[in-house]
Amino acid sequence: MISRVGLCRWLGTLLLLLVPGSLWASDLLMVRSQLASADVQPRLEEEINALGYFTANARRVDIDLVGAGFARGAYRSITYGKPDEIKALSERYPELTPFLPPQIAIIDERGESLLVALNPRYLAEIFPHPKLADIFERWHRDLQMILENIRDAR
Amino acid sequence: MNPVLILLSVVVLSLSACAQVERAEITSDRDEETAGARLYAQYCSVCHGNHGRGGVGVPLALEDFLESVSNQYIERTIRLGRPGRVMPAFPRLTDQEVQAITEYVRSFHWADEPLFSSEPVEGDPELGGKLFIAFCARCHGANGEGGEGTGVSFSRPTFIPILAPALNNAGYLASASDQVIKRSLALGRERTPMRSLSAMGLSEQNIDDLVSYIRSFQTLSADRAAIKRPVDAVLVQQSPHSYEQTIERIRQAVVNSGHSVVREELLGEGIVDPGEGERKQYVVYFGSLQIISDGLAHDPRMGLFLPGKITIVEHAGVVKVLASNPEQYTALFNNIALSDFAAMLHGIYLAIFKEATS
Ligand code: HEC
Ligand code: HEC
Repeated sequence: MISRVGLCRWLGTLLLLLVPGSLWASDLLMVRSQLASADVQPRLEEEINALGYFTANARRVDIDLVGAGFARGAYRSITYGKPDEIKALSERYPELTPFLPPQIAIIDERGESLLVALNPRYLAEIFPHPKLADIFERWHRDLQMILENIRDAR
Repeated sequence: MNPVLILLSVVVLSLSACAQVERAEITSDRDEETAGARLYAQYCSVCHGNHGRGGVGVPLALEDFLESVSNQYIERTIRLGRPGRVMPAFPRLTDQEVQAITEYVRSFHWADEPLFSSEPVEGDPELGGKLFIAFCARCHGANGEGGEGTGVSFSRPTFIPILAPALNNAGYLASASDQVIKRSLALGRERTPMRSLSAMGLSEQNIDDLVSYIRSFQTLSADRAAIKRPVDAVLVQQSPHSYEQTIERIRQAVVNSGHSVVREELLGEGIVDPGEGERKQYVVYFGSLQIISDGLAHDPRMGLFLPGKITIVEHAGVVKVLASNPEQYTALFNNIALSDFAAMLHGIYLAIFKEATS
């Protein structure tokens, strides 16, 4: 016997599966971390590496913003990717190169950090190439997992 | 079998079924509570802060804010967002999810939802307009377009504690009833620059006139049209020069445009093994303090696209220079304040491309 509640749950799950993108409905993926940006960076690299991606250019963009009258002094940025994938994509699809390798910006905010990245599904939209769809979808899944882990990291 | 026993077992069975449903409903109630917190963490805290203290978005945990808005206002704000003012629309959340988030936002300050009558406010928009210029325009802009920048933290000159929201925004006007606007004005928001108009000595008639004036913005709201995505996500230009020459010409053109090369490398350096053959995908990053600080001033998330990035590739014997089209940034970040900056950046890229490939 299927209970009313059980049936509802089941229908709910089905509904979730049927609505693609219901988790993030945005061209950007963004999360807040309670860690300071200097601490987030190594954690982020760990999370990225754990899914088999290399990281590079983990750097502070140091410019004198405070001197220019703004509240913030620096932000960080990390690029990441799988070597063969980045090599092959940049060779085969020149128009993709402005978006390669994928990047995550880390912006500090009063001791916490915001992480911002372009949603790979946005790339899937602007490059509707059937051969790229699976790659972008995996990037989306992985990036979402990376960012969620960073969001929950204490 | 004894018919009484049958009846009894039916009753017991249905009772236990009821209990099951009831228990399930209680747990799903509790799920709902945590669902609100979870959804808030997922969709809102990045901008409004983990405890509603504000960030890229305005604070939501203010007592006066929660005292001056209805749940319907919060729900509609989530659904509609603020087109062009950073706050995204969340059209794909379910009604239950939106309600759960709203309940959670309410819980920042333990008080019941305040009651509002649905009476429209009758005032004189012309008089309201005069009051607006005198008392409000310096923060909310002459046409109610809001302060420049975002929220409470970065992206604004340090001397402004919280950005004034746009009042001419279609999302705001569709979310706020007349009475919600009226109470927002009368109460003000303690611990923000928004003062109570009643405390400032303005009369109820003055406030009604201001509400009518703010309502009149509705007729000229054209913000939605202004944030279309550009046709091309990528700027691309073929170069008649060799790959190496084109890289050198890009460096020159960057300098001639008044900027400097910040960094350059083979695409994917540090990720792709440099020893792997003759790769012809090169990246030149460029910028200036002015450009970077201007960009971040409009939206801190512009850090994703700053400094500027130009790729030079040779593909099938053809050399090309490419960049992401800055004109998509306004739509990507839902930030109309970026449009002039994006247009300027677009111009810089085109000038560099033109000079390098002439
Ligand atoms: C010193 C700057 C300043 C002045 C002057 C000012 N405001 Fe505000 N106003 C703000 C800020 C900042 C907020 C946002 C407060 C918050 O964090 O909730 C705000 C919020 C509001 C809101 C609520 C908007 C929303 O999205 O919830 C309304 C309506 C409003 N102001 C109307 C007015 C009117 C009408 C006047 C003139 C009588 C006025 N304000 C004068 C700074 C100002
Ligand atoms: C990308 C950043 C961002 C995200 C994500 C975001 N907001 Fe906002 N929100 C803003 C900004 C910025 C404003 C102020 C708009 C203005 O200045 O005109 C705002 C305004 C609001 C307001 C009106 C506040 C007032 O004073 O009247 C509410 C309510 C609100 N957001 C709720 C939410 C909720 C709930 C979520 C999650 C479902 C959310 N926001 C997600 C940036 C964001």
